[in-house]
Amino acid sequence: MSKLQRFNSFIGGLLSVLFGFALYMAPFMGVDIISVVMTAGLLLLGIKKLYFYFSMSRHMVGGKNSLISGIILMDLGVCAYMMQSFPPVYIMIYLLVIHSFYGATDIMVALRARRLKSRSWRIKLITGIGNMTLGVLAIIFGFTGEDIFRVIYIYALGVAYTGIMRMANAFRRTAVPYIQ
Amino acid sequence: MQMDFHYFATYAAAYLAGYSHEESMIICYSAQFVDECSKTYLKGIKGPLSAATTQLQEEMADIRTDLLGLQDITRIWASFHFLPRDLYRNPRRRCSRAYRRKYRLICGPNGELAAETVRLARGKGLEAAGLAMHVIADTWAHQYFAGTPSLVINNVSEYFYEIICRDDRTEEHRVRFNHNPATADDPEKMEYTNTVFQDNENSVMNLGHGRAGHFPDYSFARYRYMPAWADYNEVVKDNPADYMRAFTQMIYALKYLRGDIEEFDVEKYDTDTIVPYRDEILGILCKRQVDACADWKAFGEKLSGCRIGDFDISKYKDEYLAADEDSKNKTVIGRFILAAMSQKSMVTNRIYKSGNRAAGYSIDIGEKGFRGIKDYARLLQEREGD
Repeated sequence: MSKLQRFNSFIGGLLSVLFGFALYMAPFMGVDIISVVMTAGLLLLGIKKLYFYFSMSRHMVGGKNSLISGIILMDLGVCAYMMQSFPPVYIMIYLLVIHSFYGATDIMVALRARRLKSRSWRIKLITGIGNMTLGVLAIIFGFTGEDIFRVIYIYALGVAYTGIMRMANAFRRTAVPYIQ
Repeated sequence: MQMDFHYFATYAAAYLAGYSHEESMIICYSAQFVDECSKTYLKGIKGPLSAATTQLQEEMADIRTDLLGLQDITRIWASFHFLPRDLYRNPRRRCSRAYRRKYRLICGPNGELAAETVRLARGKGLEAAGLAMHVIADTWAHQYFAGTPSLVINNVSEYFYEIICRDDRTEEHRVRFNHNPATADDPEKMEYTNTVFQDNENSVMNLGHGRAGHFPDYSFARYRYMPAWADYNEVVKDNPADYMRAFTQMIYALKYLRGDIEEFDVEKYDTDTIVPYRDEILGILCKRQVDACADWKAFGEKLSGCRIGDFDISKYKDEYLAADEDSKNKTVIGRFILAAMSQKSMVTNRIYKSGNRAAGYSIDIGEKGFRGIKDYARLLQEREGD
């Protein structure tokens, strides 16, 4: 990584941790903030797709699909922005899908590592089960309507974890020595 | 390519190049081990993770495709399975720098990096020779695909036809892939699997030849298709012919590594050695089967008169684990690890020097001293010991 990339990784991670912390401290604003993040996410994804089309996929066989999907995503982003409030059920589904996916892959890696007698399998299994549990909890708390704050706490934890990983990456040794 | 070629055919090539049965066994073990030496395996033997030469499906599902993740993937797949043919080649049309960087990673045979791979392995032992044979063989099978996740390079459209030669007639059938990884390919029923289309440029589904399924890995396959990068021009791939060139190039390269030939040059093939066996080899290559291990094994055993044991990933593991720290580098796995780090270090350096950061940064220790990933200290110590 270049110095600029390390800087970006660290600052991006720090902002994610701060955002996660703010959500944790002020969960009553949580649904609105998550709505804004998801709306902005759709718009940014649309812009990213359009940029991808003009910089890369216009050279590719069938690359116009990127142009079309970019326009559709931007439209969806604008639609989401026009909505007064974002239904919490979307947030729950999002959390369930994200955590369940990461949980399932962690468990698969752990099982494979165990077959190969690698010692790392326990940590992977624990993080996998943890992720799956978070996904299931998001749905349970969301649908029972008992405490939407708990769903927000789960989201906040996920954001903070991603931020910490990005900050850690900024300090990793990544260059490959050339030795002959 | 698969175990049939990387293990059994490599054994035959090594034996035909003049190696003994025992030497050929280590060469073919190392060639196949390139497809097995993952980070998960290395963790199991407490080996340096930078020596990983492949990634398991489970690891790929878990990997982050951020900048570092992509660089790690590219270092592994471009160094060992999709060696770039020409790092300075430009597309015909004007394009962005980001596109050009991916385009230059397209794999192909007889490139400068292929020659460097073979030269680098000389004098480094049988394990390095086996590793180099894996890389050389894959430049033929995996040509036209890049060892980095890229939709714009590696995607394959629905325009994909298998060409089948039967009784002096040529038939063409449109291939319709399914995406169920649990389903085995069946050439007789023309059922083939490939990876799911993902419109994310950096999705691991777009790594290498995943979108073309296992076609590049089958020696019998002949097909024509439209690669994403070729401006709507089709490519016709004749695997039996390519695999035959790979086999004869391996014999030539192995003779060079043995010291029978002074210089290694690209575009040279040892066709003389295989004259007595040409029809038999062509028969194996053209037979419509997804696994040619039995045929290659029988051919190899007929050549040497010795039994070729099936590949066993654990064969040399205990030797490595039992060795003390000072002598680990003298074991089969230890020498393989050094060869793998040396190859990765060389390919990363060449990609970096071409102005391409897809495989990350490379630091020339001759100019700046030892910096970067600590695992490579092991390679440095070994080189200094030499």
